[in-house]
Amino acid sequence: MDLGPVELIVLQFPGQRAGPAVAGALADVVSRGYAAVLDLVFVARTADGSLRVTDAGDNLDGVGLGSLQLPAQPLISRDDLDLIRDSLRPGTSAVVIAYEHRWPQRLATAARDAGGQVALHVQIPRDALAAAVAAAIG
Amino acid sequence: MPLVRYGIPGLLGSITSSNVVAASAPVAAAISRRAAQHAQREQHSAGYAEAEQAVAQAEAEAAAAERTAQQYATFGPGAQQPAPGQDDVVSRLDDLARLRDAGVLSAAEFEAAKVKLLGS
Repeated sequence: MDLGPVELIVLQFPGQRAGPAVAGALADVVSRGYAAVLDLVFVARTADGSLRVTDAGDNLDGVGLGSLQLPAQPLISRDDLDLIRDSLRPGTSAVVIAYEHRWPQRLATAARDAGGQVALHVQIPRDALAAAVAAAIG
Repeated sequence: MPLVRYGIPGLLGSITSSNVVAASAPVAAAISRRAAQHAQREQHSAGYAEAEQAVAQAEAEAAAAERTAQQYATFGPGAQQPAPGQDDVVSRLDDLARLRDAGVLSAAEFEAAKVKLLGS
């Protein structure tokens, strides 16, 4: 699997559109090669309580994300969306973005160019991180 | 055209609170509930005692997240939380000790949380 670290972020908004700066911020980090969007779903709960899902494969103009060029590969499942569905109040919306960190590949390339290698690359569990940070500042 | 999102593995099936960088209170509670369900499903494949422990841990996490959610609801997002009084610190220390005794927190996590609590 030729993928860097992958994270998922859910940005919640009042109203039925993403915040005006979201598309630009995302396009910026993608164009710089820092991140790649793997999948994106926009979920809105209308005033009457029903759920409206707009997909990476749909036209995202109406939800304020139309400027994004997105791959259409379904990684985010309905089950994943269920996790945030219940926290969406009527009249609010959320964009769910699965993205890959691309910049560590530059470090890997730099190591390989010098005849080295990536010996280890791990993501730190948050509880271990919290304990380590608390101990460091204590 | 909408993508088919049924019958695919998804990304959050095995998520626990240890993966979470940030979460709103209701989403944190939903994650804890899901972790508990996941642990129950794993019961069939994992050793029974281990699974029981995992379920207990996930349920305790869910309860803690619910408490946080209640706090969140009480004070509201962005509202200034009052500094914990002496009684509050003692009761939170009690909570932490119970979580450690229940095996939810490791000794190191308990110490770290205690330092944070006393330092605040």
